[in-house]
Amino acid sequence: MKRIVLLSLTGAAAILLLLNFSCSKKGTSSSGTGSTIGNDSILLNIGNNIILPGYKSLSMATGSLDSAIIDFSANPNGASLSNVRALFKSAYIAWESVSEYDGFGPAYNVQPTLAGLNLFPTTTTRIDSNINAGNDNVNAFSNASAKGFPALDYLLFGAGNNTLANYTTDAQASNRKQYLSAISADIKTEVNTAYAGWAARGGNYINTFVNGTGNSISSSLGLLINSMDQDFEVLKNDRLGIPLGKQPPGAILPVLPKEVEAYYSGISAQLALAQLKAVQNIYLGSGTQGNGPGLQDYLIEAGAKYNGGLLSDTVKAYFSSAVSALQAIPDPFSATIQSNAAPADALYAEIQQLVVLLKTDMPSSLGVLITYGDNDGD
Amino acid sequence: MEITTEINGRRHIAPLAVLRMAFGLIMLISTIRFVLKGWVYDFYIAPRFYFPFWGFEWVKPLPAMAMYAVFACMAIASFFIMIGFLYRISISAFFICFVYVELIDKTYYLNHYYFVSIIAFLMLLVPAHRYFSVDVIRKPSLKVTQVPAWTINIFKWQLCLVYFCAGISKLNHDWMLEAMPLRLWLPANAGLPLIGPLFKQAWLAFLFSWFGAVFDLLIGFLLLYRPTRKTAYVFVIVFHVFTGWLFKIGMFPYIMIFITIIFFSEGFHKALIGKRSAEPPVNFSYPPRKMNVITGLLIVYVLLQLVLPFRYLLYPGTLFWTEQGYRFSWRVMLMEKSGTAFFYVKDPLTGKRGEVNNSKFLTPLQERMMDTQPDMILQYAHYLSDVYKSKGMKDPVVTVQSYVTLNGSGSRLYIDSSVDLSRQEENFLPKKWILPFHSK
Repeated sequence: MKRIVLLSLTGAAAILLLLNFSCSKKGTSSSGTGSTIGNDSILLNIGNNIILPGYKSLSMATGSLDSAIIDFSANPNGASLSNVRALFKSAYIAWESVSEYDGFGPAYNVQPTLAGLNLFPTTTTRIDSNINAGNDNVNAFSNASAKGFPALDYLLFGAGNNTLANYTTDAQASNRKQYLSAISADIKTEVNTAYAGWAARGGNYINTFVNGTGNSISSSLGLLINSMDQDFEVLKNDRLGIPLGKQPPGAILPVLPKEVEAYYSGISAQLALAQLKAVQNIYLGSGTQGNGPGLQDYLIEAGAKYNGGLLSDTVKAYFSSAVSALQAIPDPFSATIQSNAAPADALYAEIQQLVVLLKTDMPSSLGVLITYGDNDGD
Repeated sequence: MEITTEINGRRHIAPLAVLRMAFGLIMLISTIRFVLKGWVYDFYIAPRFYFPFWGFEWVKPLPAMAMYAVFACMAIASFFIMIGFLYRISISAFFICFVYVELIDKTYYLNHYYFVSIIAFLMLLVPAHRYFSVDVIRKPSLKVTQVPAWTINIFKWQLCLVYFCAGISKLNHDWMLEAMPLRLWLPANAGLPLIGPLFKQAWLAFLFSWFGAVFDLLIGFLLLYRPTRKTAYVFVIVFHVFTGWLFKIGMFPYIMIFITIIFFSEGFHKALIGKRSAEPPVNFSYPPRKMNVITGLLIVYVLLQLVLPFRYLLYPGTLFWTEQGYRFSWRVMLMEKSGTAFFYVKDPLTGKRGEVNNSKFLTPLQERMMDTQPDMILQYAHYLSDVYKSKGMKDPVVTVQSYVTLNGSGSRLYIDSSVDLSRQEENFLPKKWILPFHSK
């Protein structure tokens, strides 16, 4: 037995040596340029140039929003309300640039998870009863859909022109201000926790991320693609599919305008566009410091093919076409789909094709497994 | 060497006793690992729907606690097999529990689970507990030293068949001439220190592909042939450890390393368990009536083993694409296949059609496996039809818009999206609604 163990160790060492020495030979593959799976230049760019700035701007936006809400609570008037509303919109839009990373890292490994800040549609009856009862424990399990951005959307826009009265003359004005502040403070805290977790000076997950090479399910590429794809399916299924009546709830299929994201503020299409562009940026490698290597560089390196051409070009073309299609759809999305659903239906079909490319072709070309779980293969 | 002596000749029982211990140990580790990873819950408790095998639709998962009990039973049985305690009962219990679990859902089908089922079945037939076991200590009259040669050789035969079929299945265009799918998989390791950059070289993918094919085709024979046996076993260890390290294949490498011990001589096995001194020979033979039953079982088993891997020849189209006749054929790590499927349910009364959100019905792993396997697509379509029937829709029309990419081909339409799958039946006839692959 000893001899066998010894022999096998020698054998393994011999093979490794052999592999190592033949390294000097020039390979015949199409590879050779800088980036490859395992090279961190792509992860470095996505991490430092896209993800970190994304969390930073969300953190700043939710910070300003929270200060504005404190001002508004102290002094509710038309001017402070419109200030809050404007800041809410920019914070929500900033959110769409980081929701792609909800499935791993600091946003995922905390309780409550960051994704909980955007569970829509919000349960308005729950919010109202919380306000009536003076209950501002927004992170209670029962309040899962009565917090975050969708709750702010309802509280700041739900009453339309009567909104200001809700915070001044209404019998529950004081409770309502308290609930509004609690939700905003929670958003700010949760976002800052995630940002600190990523930041080099905080939890330094950025370091883990850029060094998590390879393509296994626990590599940065595996985590990023799985999380991004899962978020992208939220665009298809929840932001577009359910409101457009794409999913069969029983025997009837009505258009369900109230199911859209940000129904009350009516910025659904803007938000969807922000998300689509954020995913496009990860793909292209575009960030605050300009263009760098992105996911497309893996595909270019791998020489992945699609329908006779290059997969990298195909995905790029689909992205720009989907962006144009979405830009052509005016807000409020809930009204647009009731008057003329055809452009949104066409957009939906384009997003479906993008799902196929991002979930099937791209991971398959990179050997990344699409599964949010874990299993052996053979 | 005559074939009859390889079947009915007398052999020392030591290899069988060692195999029993090795099998028990690796199954004990494997079962504990499975439970610790939380897979009992993820695979057999969490899902709403399961994909049973054809003819075994009646096999259902038990309630949560009972599922855990099944795995506990498997672990205890493995331990008893290892020490040779109440062997007949333990090996039967293990076989029943293991096969039961495998039959619940084909999502988790792996060649090595199939292999374990077969080894457990064969272990059921042989007197592996009649030497170097607790049973012998308890009841010394059980002890034998000589057993019919087939009780040992049947395992060698099974292993040779596994490797050889795996080798034959590698002799295809993609594997040999394109180095696919290794060319897609190997670059994942480019981040390794020192040797990392090698993994993106195409020649390495070709080297591995060809080496893998030659290894699989020859290793069985090299293990059988005494002069090459030791070197061959070293190759077995290196090959499996290396593949286990490169790919996510769980216990498979270790199972193969453990089971191939059976190829060693009885002298080796005797030495391994420290029985060097001479013992008075005690012959074991089966009672004639029992032997008739076993002979019958073995003939059926051997015929099935010879036929199943080649049944795919009866089906038209590209095997890797249609997967008709793919399972139970020792096709291991042969393709990179991935897909996305959008299912539509249409109410024929109103003509309205909706797209199903698969994540509402399937676990992510089930969805991923279903996306690329036509028989599972059909099962899921039938399930959706039942779901919407129960919601009051009459005769729902279920269609699928499904895209699959195979070995870097680029995704293309997989299933005829005009076919109402709720009206297609599962059987062994070719599935006409699978669109052809159209290789370049």
